[in-house]
Amino acid sequence: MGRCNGNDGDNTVGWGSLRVGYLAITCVYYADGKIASSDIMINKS
Amino acid sequence: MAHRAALRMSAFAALAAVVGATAVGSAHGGDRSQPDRAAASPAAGAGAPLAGSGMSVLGDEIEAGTATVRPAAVSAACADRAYSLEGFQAAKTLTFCYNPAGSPTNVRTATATKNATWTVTIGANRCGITRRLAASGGYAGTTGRVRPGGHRGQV
Repeated sequence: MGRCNGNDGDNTVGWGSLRVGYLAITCVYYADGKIASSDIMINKS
Repeated sequence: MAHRAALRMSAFAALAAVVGATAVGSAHGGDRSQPDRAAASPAAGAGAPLAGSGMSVLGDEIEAGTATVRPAAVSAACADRAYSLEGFQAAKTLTFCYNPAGSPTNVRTATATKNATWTVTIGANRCGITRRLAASGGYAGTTGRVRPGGHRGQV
């Protein structure tokens, strides 16, 4: 199970190990209706 | 990967949309890839506030779904008009970095990522729908950062 680790101000796309049957996880961090940053991890399995 | 009109056409397209496009929105279409928000961020949940930051986080875990015949899947996706808008939008260009570590050998890493991002940013599709997105994105090169965490590497 993936999880969002917190906003670091960067938008990062990368690969990692997620649960079987999942393609990817996306995390969007926002405040006042505006996106601060977002991250993507694609399942490498 | 998000903005006021980007379609979730595929898992990778959705990913690229969230990070790469600007001034459009995140819309969840009813295709094969359904998000699993509760599973994506059990600690934070969907649109949950981050303590002490004044910020919220929305996590989507995208399921692979079952195998389908490609022509039928494309046809169904083109006829699907369902969507939902998120409560946020990109107010500026979101420049993204790419971490190639662990990428499959058959993926052309940064080039594939940039191409997928651009496909979504401009609203390219296989349905014959006119592109209407006046959006752009930015690529800042490779990085060693890893986010978010996988289930074997939670922090």
